[in-house]
Amino acid sequence: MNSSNDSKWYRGKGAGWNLSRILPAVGAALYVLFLLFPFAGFNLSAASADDWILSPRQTGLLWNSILLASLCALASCTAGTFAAMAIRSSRLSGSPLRWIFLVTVPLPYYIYALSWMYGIRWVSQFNRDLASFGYRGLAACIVVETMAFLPLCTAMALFGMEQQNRKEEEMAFLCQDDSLVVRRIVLPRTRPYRMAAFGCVFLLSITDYSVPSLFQFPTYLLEIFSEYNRGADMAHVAGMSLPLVGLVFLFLALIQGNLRQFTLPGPQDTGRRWHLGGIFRIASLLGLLLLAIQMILPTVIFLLTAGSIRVIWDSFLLIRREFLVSIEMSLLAGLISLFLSFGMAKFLLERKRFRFLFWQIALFPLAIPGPLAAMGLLSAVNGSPIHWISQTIVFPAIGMAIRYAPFSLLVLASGMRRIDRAAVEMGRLLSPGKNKAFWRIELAMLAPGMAAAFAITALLSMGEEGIGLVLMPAGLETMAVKVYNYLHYGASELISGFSLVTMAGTGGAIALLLWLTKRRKGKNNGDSD
Amino acid sequence: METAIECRQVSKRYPDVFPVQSVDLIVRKGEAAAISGESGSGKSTLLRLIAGLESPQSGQIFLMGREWGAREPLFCRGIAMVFQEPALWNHMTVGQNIMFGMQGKNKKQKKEFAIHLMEQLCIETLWRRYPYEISGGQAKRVSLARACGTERPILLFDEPLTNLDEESKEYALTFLKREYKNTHTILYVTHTLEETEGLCDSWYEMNQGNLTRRR
Repeated sequence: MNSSNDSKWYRGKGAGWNLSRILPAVGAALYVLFLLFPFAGFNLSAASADDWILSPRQTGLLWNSILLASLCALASCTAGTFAAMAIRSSRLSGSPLRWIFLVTVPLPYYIYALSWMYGIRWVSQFNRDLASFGYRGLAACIVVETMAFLPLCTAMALFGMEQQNRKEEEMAFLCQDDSLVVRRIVLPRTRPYRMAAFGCVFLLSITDYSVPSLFQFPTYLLEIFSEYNRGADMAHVAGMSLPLVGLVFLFLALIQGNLRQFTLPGPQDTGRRWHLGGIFRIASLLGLLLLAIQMILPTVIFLLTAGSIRVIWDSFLLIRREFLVSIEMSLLAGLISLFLSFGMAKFLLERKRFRFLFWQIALFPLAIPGPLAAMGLLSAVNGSPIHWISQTIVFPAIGMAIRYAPFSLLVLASGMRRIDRAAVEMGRLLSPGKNKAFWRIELAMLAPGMAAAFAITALLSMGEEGIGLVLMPAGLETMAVKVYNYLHYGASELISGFSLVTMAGTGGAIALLLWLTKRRKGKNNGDSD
Repeated sequence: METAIECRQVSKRYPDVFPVQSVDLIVRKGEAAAISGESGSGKSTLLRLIAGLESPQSGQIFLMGREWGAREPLFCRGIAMVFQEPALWNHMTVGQNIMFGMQGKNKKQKKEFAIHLMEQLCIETLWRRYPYEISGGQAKRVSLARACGTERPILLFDEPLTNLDEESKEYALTFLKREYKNTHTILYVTHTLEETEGLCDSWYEMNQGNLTRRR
């Protein structure tokens, strides 16, 4: 027995810092700090009851917001589910190209609004009756927002369908017709994903004002933003926002479970193509058609409105600085969001008690409209010792990170749930050093989830214009803000050119991401048997 | 002779099940003990408690005479383990998996030792392959090589030879008997007691959370 060999073991607690404990604790604390920071600027104590007690008119506006958000969430989730079914039934199933529709996810919603408006205007050149077609109001908002959110809903439905246990699904297909299996087994099992999609669209719609403002549909958030622009103090604005924030917070509590169940698909085989019949086949083809229109229509309309390659090139030259600023800001936002959400995700997954409450707090930023949080952040920073930060690109990046960190958190938590626990435990057990397992095993296995968490904030930040309008330092603009500002000049050719450049930029980013995160080398062990 | 593993009235309870109930166990240094029992009898849970992957509700666990707390790092306990599933790291090659836990060697020495272990287990051709490119039986042998590569004095095996064909089982058992019997402390969980012949000196049986010495 070699007792001198034994002596190097049983050394005791082990020297050095345990990164797998420290980083999550620091990140979770910073997450909460960042989350609360905008509240420092709200000055809620100075708000009076008049600010948050709704007048009949304001009640009507709030109802408009709820109605718009609910209807477009329902429409886009339904269409998205059918589109996902069509993809699973087509040759695209199993191909990386099946995610091509994601190129339009980061586009600002108002770009869809513009494409529809320009499209109707262009067609009305040939049919004057169409010129009087009212592209205003609730119906127009629903159409545009449904199309804008359709790729997101399709992706989430497809994630759910590809997530299913392959062997269980195959057993069902051996027993019954494909349509029946989809109806009785796949759709019920993917319900959490579709509910999560509904929830996300509702949240994004009710906290957006760009589409309602373009189509002149009065909503509560528009009212809040109008008050702010009229020079109302933060206490009044914050007080006004309480009913909206409270409502969305309650909604979050209802869908929290579905959001938490959301999981990114793992690297397993996507399974056989479905062979759908009857009503499912028709509905899925309609869903796919809508998805195709959603991708092709803005491109075609903007090309027609821009009129020439020269205009598109001039637009690119005019917007290239903003293009670089957008990329820089969104990359920073992605990194900040990743760091904050990593710690918080680990903290939340380790909780055994009061999980619902902790998750509700972590998801709270989703209840606060982006521009409102930006206003609070600006107010908090102005006049403080760190006021200098408002003159840097980091400031809007922080605002974006605060807004979208909950999405990164959900994605990262799902990635952490997916990793092979046994492999992580084995790493901790066999590691020759305190933190080696953390860096080389745990973080390496989490890399795809971390990349997805980074990407979701970065891509959503690229299309965000409300926060950018409030927080960008003087002399800097993002692409989204520049396009929005040019709307007021009415230069439709240039706006079309800008929009095409934006679409190309975000499309390139998505394509790069898809290429970088192509099917990783992580098939289940034993698949080669 | 010094005690390597000692469990004193160790218990572990989950909401619906009580897999380990007041277990007493003493394994001396250099001894190899087999634990058998039905599925769900608590064998794997006991091993996990000893490894520190879970904390007992009550009782104490001593390794080489020292009691270990729940928060102390796992890698200091001097334990290597083979799970029921291979638990290989898919982003690393087989060679990297085996070398990961080695200490006190430079890169060249690690590689030589890893190849030596792989040759003993007839998996030397898998050096550059990834875990998803090998079969379940091969993955099991890689996980065995990985645990043995750490050269830790206590080895915990949780059904290490499942999914292996007869010839591979023979290689693995011969390897363990030749390299680790009497020099390392072994706790070996199995359904098949016959495979522990020639390796294990004592035999325990786990039944509904209770451990009884049979030999």
